[in-house]
Amino acid sequence: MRVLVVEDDDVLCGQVRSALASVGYAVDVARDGEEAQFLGETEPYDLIILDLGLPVRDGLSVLKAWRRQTVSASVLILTARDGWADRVDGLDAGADDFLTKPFHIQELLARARALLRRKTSQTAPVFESRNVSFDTRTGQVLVGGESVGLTGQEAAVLSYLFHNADRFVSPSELAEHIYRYNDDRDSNTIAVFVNRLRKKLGPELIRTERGRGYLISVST
Amino acid sequence: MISLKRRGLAVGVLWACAFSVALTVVLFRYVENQNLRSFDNQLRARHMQLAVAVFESDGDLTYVRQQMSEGAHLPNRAVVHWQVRSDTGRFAKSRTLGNDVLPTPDTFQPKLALRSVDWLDGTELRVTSQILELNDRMDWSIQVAQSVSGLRQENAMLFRRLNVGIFISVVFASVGAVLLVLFALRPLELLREEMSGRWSDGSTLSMKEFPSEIHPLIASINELLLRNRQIVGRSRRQAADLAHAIKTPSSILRNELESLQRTGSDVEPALQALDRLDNQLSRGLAKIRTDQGSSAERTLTDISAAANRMARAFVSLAQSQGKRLEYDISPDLSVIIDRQDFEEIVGNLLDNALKWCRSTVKFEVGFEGRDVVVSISDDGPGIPENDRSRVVEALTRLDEGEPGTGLGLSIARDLAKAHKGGLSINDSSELGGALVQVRLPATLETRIAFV
Repeated sequence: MRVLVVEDDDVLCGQVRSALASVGYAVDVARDGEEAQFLGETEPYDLIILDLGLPVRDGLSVLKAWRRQTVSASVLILTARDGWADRVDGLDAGADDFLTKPFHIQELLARARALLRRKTSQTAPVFESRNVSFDTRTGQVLVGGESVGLTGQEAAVLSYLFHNADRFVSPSELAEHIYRYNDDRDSNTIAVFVNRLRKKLGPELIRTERGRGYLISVST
Repeated sequence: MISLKRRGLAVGVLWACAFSVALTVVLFRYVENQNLRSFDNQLRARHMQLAVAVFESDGDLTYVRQQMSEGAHLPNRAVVHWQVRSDTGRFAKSRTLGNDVLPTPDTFQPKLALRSVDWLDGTELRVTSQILELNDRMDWSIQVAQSVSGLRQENAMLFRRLNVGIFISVVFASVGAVLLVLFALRPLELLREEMSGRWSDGSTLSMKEFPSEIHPLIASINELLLRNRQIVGRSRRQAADLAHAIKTPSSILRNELESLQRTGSDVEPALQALDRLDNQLSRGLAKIRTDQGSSAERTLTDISAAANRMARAFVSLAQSQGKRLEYDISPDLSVIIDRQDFEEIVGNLLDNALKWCRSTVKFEVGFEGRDVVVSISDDGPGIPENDRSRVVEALTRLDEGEPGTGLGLSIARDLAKAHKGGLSINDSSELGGALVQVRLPATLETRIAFV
């Protein structure tokens, strides 16, 4: 899952980035409003974590610009401002949730998971298909009750396919959502990751159709 | 200080009385003078008649008497006395004098002279006197006299009539003074109304609506308004900036401590100290907020619009938590309250309700009695009756296991109080959880619209 973190404080930004990366998200960061607006408009993020007090351009106007440009990523607002007016301004401008500073990093991760799941019909934190289950909280994958170890990239592909279950996802779309902005994106490597996943999780979990892409089905 | 109205009325009525009295006196003196002059003229005419008679008589006083008995009465039927005397001792007088004799002046002159004399019966006489030298080379002193009592009576009557005039003019002038005062002071009245009414919408007072004399006052008021707004705005920004400046480092510290904790270090005392710091900061900022709530200028807020905005925001928030927010907001509600303060009250209460509900929160805003009533109910565990007064105190949390500062209800209550409202906690009969209600005094317009 692609996540953009917009925060002007270097240290806090680094903490949030490493926390999100540690659970398998491909994380980009922006340090000011202008950079954030550019990245948000050009990259297909699944989630944006947006601080409201930003240099160059404030977070609220960036958010409004995104929503005008029909950027559909879920937006989690971070605010240090006391009082509800700011939060309501943010929600009214199209944010999906907010978190006030100081916050617990675990709380941030839980909110992020919930927001990413929101676009699916799934409400429980654990995805299941056939005999495979994927826990979004821990990244743990069980096949027939047995834990299976995955590399970061394998987990990212699996996670994206589960979050977009029941529809075909093209290799290029997958690449856009598992690589960061500055990574080399090679959609050919996607086929490699899918093959490895099939070996570890069984051949039936991921269907392939030429010209359409990959599909995980969670509806029975 | 005596009120402007009283000053105006007192001066107006006093001026009306003084002016009327002075006018009457002057008028009366003038008419009195005119009357005396025409009285004297008639007396002079009579004197001329006597002089002509004496002249023609060639010393024959019988002739004089005969002439004077013709037309002996003036038109007002007043009695006119006359008297002639020569330097040789010849003497004649009108019968009207009886045994009395008109007093002769010390010196007679060829020119006709007029003077007033006190007469024997207590009345006042106007007496003419003149010396004439006739053909016989004798000097004749001739005199005509008439009592002025008739004239005095006439004047007295005139004076009484003028008094009625005074009274009427005092009444009219006083009514005029009242109207003048009311009309002249109307702009001040308007100013008072504007201050309590239209002033509240955040604009300044318009010069055009007031006379030029009040313009300096309006300018001062506008200046004060602007300065007050700036001060409140600045201190709000400062509080927000302070929050921003402290909370980001505090977040960093917390994250570092928690990652240390995961690696097995004992950082519990440090985390507790950080909790205290954060709570203290939240509490201090909340205090600043509620203090400003009572001192901030009174702005009119369209509660219906503000509540709908809050409802929209919280509907999506509830959805992301898998919960449901239902809302029912009456249109056309307004309250004198800062919009941010209203959002602070409702935001805290909705946040609480959303945290504690099982699945549903109900948000209603309506009009009841004289107040706009915000009701927020949920299907959560509710708040036990014994804890209700305690739970609104700052930093009281019934469940320490849940995240939160324990400030929400107390902020909401303090802000409601600062705007002359109140907060109450009950059981929700509909949803089974807590029902928190905030009452805020509605504006007159709202009351009129709903009654």
